[in-house]
Amino acid sequence: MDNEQDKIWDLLGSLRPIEPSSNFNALFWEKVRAKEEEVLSRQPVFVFPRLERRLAYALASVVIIIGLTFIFQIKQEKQLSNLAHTFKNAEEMEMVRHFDVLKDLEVVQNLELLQDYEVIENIDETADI
Amino acid sequence: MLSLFKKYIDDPDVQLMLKCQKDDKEAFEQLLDKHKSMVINIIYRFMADKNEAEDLAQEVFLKIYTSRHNYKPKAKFTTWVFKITANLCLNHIRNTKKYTSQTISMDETSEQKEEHPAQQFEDTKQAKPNEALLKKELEEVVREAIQSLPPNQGMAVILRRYQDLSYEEIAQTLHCSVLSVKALLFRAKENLRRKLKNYI
Repeated sequence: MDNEQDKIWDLLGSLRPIEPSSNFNALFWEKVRAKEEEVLSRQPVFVFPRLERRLAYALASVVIIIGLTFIFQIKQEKQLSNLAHTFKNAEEMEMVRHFDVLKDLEVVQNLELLQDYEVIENIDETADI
Repeated sequence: MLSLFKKYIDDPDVQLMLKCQKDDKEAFEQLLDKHKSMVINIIYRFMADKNEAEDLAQEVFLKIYTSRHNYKPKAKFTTWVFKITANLCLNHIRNTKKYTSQTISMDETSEQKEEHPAQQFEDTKQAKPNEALLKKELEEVVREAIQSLPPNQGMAVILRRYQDLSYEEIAQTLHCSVLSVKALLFRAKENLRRKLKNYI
């Protein structure tokens, strides 16, 4: 029985090996290229890597900007209300509100050109006399 | 785990595979040249079709190449190759159902042969074929006998007889116990003995 099995085992040796074809490697690399192209084509064209994280950053930035603007506005309102307490009447308050315009008016009044005009006006007055 | 990696790190194939992980195509080409013949022959002995064997062998290497980045040297490189090869062969057979039909046809032929064994011997002697022809015929009979085995038995025989693997290595390759491998091989030898008794 064992002898028979040994003979069977020997008989299996009659199955000779085959040689790989000469273009086996070339065909293999062709398949690799095709596979890689297939994988690339399966990827979406419009890719956003780490989209969730980026969205979170954008949202945080927007919240911070809105928050800062809000805080700045509150601060300004507070400053104005403090000034309202300082000034006695509404006229003074109005002046403070238009402080920039007032300042400009002061500049205009100090212009030399206007001073000359004043002189000319005075000349007319003296001529009349 | 690290000691397990160290155990196989000296294996030259493992070294080449580690180079492949860094996209070294030359290293993979070396692995291809070294093992393609072995892989093709395992598949050829299992499927008995040269073109199919080459196609499947390329699938084996493609699988190895595409999974190179996940490769960890937990076993001998060849064990990994045998595993992939056996899995692909068994899946292919399962999907195409080719093996089943061939098993049936082989069973039929063997039954027919068993009915008239003497006549067959007589015919061979009458024809007096030359040695090459006889060898070719014997080769065909052996191939058919292996193909007639259930897929697991066939793969176990191929790995044991042609690749000289130990029971442990076959067990690793076929995902079963050593005891199961011994049982598979015992049954396979019995089946082969029945199919090839006229040739011993």
